[in-house]
Amino acid sequence: MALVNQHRPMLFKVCNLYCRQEYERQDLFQEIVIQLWRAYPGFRGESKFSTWMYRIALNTAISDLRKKKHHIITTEPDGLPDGIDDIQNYQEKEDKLKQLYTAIGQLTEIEKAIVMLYLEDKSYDEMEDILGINQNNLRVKMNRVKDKLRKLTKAVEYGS
Amino acid sequence: MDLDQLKDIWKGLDEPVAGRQGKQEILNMLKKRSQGPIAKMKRNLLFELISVIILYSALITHYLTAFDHELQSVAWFLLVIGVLFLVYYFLKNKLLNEMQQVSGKVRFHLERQVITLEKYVRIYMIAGVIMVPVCLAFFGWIFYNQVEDFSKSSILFPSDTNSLWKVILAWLILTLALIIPVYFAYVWILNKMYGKHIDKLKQIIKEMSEE
Repeated sequence: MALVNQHRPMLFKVCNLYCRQEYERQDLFQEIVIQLWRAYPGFRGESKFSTWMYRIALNTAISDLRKKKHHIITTEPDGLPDGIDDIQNYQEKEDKLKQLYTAIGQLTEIEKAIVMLYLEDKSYDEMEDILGINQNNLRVKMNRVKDKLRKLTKAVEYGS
Repeated sequence: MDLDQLKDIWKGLDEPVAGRQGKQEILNMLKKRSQGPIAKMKRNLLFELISVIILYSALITHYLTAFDHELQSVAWFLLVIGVLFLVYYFLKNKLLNEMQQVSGKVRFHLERQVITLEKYVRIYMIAGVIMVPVCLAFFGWIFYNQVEDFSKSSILFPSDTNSLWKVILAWLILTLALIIPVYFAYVWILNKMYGKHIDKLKQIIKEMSEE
């Protein structure tokens, strides 16, 4: 329980990446917590706890069978993630965060996962352990995704 | 905005959130039922099992004791169907349990998910299509034993004027005439229910494999 609570921000980030609507985010968050709880007895410490948690969170988010309702894509998510109150230059950061989420929203499911692990500063070893993609392939994808993200954030920045 | 700036913003999301909501909230979440699709499918399957057990028990008891024991064969037939349903239930439940294993690497999880989901769909379809000849056999048996006038005049039953091969051919045609539309109806329904999702998962796996 304490470990889940400790990694809660990471879970929020996964939910924010894969869901645009608040109620979808809440549902996904709850689902991930339930899956973690259910899978925990099988956790043998073969990998880091955070790696194991990423796997469960990403697997739950990506393989969700629910039909996502189609919404008109706006330039911002309908609710920003909590927790930026204390950051200085709130407005500027908020705008950048909106741009980041709008840009990420245009990536594919796997690209989103790669971007998240990149932003979290995960090593290629750990990324391989989470995603099951070999490192050579990951490096190629990473370069492509970074380029794409750069272009998308620029497009969003100039578009806004 | 460069990528390092994005990283800073991203990391800025970490700390304030952690302290805000406590363990109690997580406990409350765990008390609720999972609203995930697999959990819902499991609940529906369990509901189906309970309904079948209640309904079949009542019907079997009824046919064993009523009608001066003349329709006991119906009870035995229902018992066979009930046993087949139990096999169907355990197979589906096993596959749903497999689908709930989410701690593997993402790519392997998705590959396993596709294989399991395709098996699930196949079982669904086979079970539905098999019910056609089973039900035909059941009603044929009832008619043959209970409605003598009909069975004598029908091409579906052997008589002085109907040779055995004609009867077999008639049953084959009737079975095919029913199985074909039922099969396509299942293909359509299952494709509507799971087809898009299976395609989406395959597309993601393909994307992960491509360099």
